[in-house]
Amino acid sequence: MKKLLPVFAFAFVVAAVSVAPASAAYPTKPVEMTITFKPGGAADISGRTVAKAAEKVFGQPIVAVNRPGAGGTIGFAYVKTAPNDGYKIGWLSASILTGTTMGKLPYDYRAWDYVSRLVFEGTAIVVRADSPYKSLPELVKAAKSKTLKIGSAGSGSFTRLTASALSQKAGFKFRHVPLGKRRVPSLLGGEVDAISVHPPEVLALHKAGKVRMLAVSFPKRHPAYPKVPLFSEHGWDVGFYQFRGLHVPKGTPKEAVQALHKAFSAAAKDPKVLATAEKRGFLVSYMGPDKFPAFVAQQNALIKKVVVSLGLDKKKKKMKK
Amino acid sequence: MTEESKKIRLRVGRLVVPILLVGFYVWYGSLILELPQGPGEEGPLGPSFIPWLWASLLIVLTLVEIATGNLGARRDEERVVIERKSALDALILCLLLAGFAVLMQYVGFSAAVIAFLAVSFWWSGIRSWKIIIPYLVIFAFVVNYVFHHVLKVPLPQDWLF
Amino acid sequence: MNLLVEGIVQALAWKPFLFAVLGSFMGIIFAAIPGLTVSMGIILLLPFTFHMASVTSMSLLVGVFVGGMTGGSISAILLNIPGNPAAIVTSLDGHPLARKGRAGVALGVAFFSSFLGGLFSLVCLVTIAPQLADFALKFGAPELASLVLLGLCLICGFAQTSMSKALISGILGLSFSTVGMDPIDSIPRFTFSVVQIQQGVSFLPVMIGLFAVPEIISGMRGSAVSLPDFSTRLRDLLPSPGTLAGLWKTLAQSSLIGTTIGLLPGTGSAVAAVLSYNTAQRRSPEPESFGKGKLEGVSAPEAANSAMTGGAMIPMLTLGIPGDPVTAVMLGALTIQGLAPGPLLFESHGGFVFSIFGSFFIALFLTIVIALLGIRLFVQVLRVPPGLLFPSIAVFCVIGAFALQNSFFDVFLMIGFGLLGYFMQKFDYPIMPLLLAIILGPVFEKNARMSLILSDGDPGIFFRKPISLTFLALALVYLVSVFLKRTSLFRKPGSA
Repeated sequence: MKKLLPVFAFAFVVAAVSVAPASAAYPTKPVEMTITFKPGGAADISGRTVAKAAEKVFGQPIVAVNRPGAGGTIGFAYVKTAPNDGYKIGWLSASILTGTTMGKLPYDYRAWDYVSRLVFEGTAIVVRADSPYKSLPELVKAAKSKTLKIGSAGSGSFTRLTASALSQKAGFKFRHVPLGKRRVPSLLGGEVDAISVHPPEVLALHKAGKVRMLAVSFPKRHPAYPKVPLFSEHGWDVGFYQFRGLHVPKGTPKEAVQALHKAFSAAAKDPKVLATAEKRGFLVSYMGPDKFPAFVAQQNALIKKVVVSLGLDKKKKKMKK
Repeated sequence: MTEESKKIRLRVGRLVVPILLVGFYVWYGSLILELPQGPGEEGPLGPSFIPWLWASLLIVLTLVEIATGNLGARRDEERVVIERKSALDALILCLLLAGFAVLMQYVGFSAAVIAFLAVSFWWSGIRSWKIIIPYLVIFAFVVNYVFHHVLKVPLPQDWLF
Repeated sequence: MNLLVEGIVQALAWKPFLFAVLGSFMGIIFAAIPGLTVSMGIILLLPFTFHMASVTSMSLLVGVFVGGMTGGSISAILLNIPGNPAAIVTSLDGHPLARKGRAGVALGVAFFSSFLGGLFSLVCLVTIAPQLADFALKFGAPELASLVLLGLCLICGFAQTSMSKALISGILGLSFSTVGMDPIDSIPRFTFSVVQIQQGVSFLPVMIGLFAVPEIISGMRGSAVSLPDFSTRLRDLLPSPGTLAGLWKTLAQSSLIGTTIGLLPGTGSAVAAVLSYNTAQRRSPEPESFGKGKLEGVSAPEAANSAMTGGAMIPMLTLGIPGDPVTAVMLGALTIQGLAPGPLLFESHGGFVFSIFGSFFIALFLTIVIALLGIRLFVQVLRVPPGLLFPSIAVFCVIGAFALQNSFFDVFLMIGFGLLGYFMQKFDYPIMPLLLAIILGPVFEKNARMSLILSDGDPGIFFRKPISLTFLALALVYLVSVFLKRTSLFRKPGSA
């Protein structure tokens, strides 16, 4: 241990010197954007596309870093505890609301500052092509007389909450199957009657006629699947949608938030982002820091209602702060 | 080491490991008790079912191991020899690695890697500073450049490189 | 056939070809440097492909995938540190061969087995991909649970001195695999209310720790046995036609197993390697010489893990369902290019699909050429004094564990399991079962519990499905045969 001491002493001197002096204009160095899901997934693709476009206005690189695990929890917790100097930002999704309401994170949704909403992603109810249900009302009618098996990405996942909210609105009960990664093969293999899923995962199969998207929970019809009706057209609007956007650690300076807002609002108009959105089946819908926090609060209230009605908030052991 | 002391140590090994395993079983079991028991929210098997299955298999196998290792067929075949020195080496290396990982978060990757390697080289018997210093500088620079700047691994950075 | 030729020609254009070379090279490097893994390589290279043409980006990623499956055998054989999970089995016989001075032969056989296994799976991919994809859909939750249970039973095959020790090691792994978020009810288990532990025990950091740390310790303290020199001349590396002919049965069955396992989501290359090793061992006239340096023991897992690559790409390309973590990233790369893999990809972008096949074909050739030539370089690295080499490897292990999920938790996981692995080896507890259990435990738990949800609590679901019943029967037969063999060993002590 004696030999180590000088080394550690040296290291701490290094640490002390390396704290750079605070400079005037933000941003002076690259910003790191945490993506809470794995590389190549939906969150990763939309996040990286938007970040790339925002860089042009922002003037500094926006480096996307994946911190996946436990349904986004790991990444959200990272952003929560990161320094609030404006150089650590996060690509959030509605999963942050499910994670906080169900106690997977030891704080509620107000633990972060919200900058802007960038995109909406739909949630679709999908059946196999040979299924007897041709439309959502047919499925609902059948579900009222017998218990159907409907799969989702997991117990507390956004897709599950959408399916459950639909069942509450339309008045049926179903057997939920938390299929996880095997959601699409499981549907194709005939293990479940329907799945609740984000459209990009089944878009290719839908176009090939292997599966049928019955309806999608979305603010408006999407050009990638224009013939698929919305939940709201059947009168069963669940009110909350999968959204993605930008958040920062609590107490991040106003100038930083404004600079990010400026860069990302420009990115929302970038032709490359719009083209990717059309192909990938998401919807670009920008909302700035003036309105976004209120929107998050409103979505949180809706999601919390479903979570509480399903009893998902009770049994979970709370995480330590 | 004399034959006799070796034998004693073997017996210690045969007893200590099973005792540790029983200890692990008790700990693991007490943690399972904190989980919701019985059927789960989603299906007939709850979150504690599979852990209980593994825990019961573990205790059964540990008892088998105690029986065969100390009384049964392998009683005289046991060839476990653990030297105090090599066990210490393992602990030191792991502490060094953990120190490296912790240090990196405070002083950045390059400084931490230099500190870690310098200590490790010294410890593993490379004492010539003429070799160590150039190797350290080049290694820290190249690795940081390739992984951080080219491959974009978000290693913590500092003022070096 | 014409389409395939066109595809190959397309992939031979200078840019895709250049990136195929780069990909295969990087795949080999990532797999051969202890601590770095193919998964890490693919994850790190993915962002670069966003700005490339689609054919080019796929040649890069396919190159890494194919190269990585071969490269893992280099460090497994020479250093006894497997470069990727698929190569953990390769080290069982590969390293003993190297100790005997036959490293050249072992490497040659590994490279050629990889090549032939990959070629087999490519043929399947080109000819019967849609049919195989439909076959894969027959594997539902009960089938996967039974298959994984069979895989777990094979842990017995890794017993060295005592069966109970191998099984304890496996059960410890299964217990560790229950840490983190419950896969069905999403309840955090054994997390001590720490958010980071919810991500659970991921197997790649564990693998790096278990296999690399003990070797680093002995390497740094000068207790490592240096390998006898071996010739790296091409003539001595290439296995003789006779050797390869003697291995053809092993190669054929392993390629078949590898391709099939690749088709099934969530099982992975380690299972393919273990199953084929075990099959080769059981079918061999001298099963007891496995684990002491037998060429079949190198050939079987290497053919299987390369065959897995083609298998895993089948559901990815035909249905848009990734078969393993690497193809999941590839799927992302394709969608970012605006190509949606699925049944229509063959019709709408048939030329492009065949160019992927073409780059796969080219990557196979490039990999074997680069591996054969590069081995000289690698042997040079082995000449670096161990006091310098092993601390540097330790740094790569830390980076490798970190970069998978950019998480320091994974780094500490790697270190902790490294220490555990070291003491387990000292007390004669084999570490292979521990790792396999950590890979398979969550898959088993998830699918077993899922099956019971699907059947409304009726355990008969495991026995009514023919595929599931077959696996369960195989597992039972295996366990009985092991038990009979062991009890006969007990009667004549000394023969173990």
